[in-house]
Amino acid sequence: MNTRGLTMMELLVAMVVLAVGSFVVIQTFSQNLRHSSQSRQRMLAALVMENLVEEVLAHPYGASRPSRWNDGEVNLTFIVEGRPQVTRFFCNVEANPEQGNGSFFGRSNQGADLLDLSVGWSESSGPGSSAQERKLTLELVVRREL
Amino acid sequence: MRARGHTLVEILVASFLAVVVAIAVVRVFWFGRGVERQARSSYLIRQDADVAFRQLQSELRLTHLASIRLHTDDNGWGMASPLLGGFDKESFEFSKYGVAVWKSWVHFSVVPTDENVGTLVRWEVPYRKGPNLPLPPPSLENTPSESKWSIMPRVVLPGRGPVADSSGLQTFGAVEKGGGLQLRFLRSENDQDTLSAINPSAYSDTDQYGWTAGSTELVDLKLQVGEVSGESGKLSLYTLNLRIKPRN
Repeated sequence: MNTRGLTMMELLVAMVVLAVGSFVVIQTFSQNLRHSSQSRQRMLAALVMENLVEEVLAHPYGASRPSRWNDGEVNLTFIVEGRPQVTRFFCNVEANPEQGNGSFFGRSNQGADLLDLSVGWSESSGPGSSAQERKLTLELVVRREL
Repeated sequence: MRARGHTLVEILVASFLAVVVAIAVVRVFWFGRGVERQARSSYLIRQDADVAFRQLQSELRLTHLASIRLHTDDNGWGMASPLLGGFDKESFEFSKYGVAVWKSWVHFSVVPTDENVGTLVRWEVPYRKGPNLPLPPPSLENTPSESKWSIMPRVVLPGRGPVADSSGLQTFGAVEKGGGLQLRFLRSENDQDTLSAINPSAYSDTDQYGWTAGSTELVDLKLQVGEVSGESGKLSLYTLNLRIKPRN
């Protein structure tokens, strides 16, 4: 039977191994949390985009462009385990610079227009790294009702 | 064989390291539990809310703005629907004039299950008036032969909502304009959006007081779902707002 016990060096090596293991486990949990939050943000961005499409459908053709369609801010707050988490989105609706003509906003008299809809948000990519700007975009053809 | 034993310093250092390791292990364990709990409560609530939201969105798109009537107790609303038998889309029909044939009146309201939350229920009453006019529904109290479907649990009751407790965490409490199921009519004037409980189509022809000024064709639906974790006692709350244009 080995009754020698452990040397200080063995203990230190064991500590380091354990610390590295713990670090990996914590990193995995953090990453899961981040992915879960990113997935929620993307789902919410799709929802904000749906709102934007409905707003466009209800907008009278030829009326001026509301200011909320020019980087308009939408804040959504969720409470997770008692703590509020706010996600901020920015909404844009503009005539497509190449094929649009601005008639939807009363800038010309054509009967149809091509719009660019976009929803932007910042996505955290982890501690120590800067947030990444994300954008969901959609092209929508609108026609003047006769 | 070495039989020297350990010096006091060795024992102290080993004990210190053991304590550090024990703390680290416990912290990792609790962190993992916290992450798992957060992810699970957030996911479950979100999943339920998304399904309910899609159903409400789909049926609101199928109705006519003029038929929507908010309940007087601010617990949901009623409206004409071209669907009969729950969300059965097979029952949808157009008349020869190209308009939806109204099959039922539906009501959405929250039935309390405890002091803070309840179950979102869809009530359905056969449509007994003419086929083409999207008339407002009778009040829920006067609909004895309704069928009902439970759509989702944990919807926040009228007058309840999140408030901060003494430790700064959010918890359920009385809120003046609270409630997890709210439908409002969107107005937009001077580039400012406001939400109104007045259906503009009910007043626009006789509006002498400017009640319907700035009205749009959009309704704003708020759905708020929450639960207090049985394990941690903490509140998780999910709020969704959607703008919908009734299309028929």
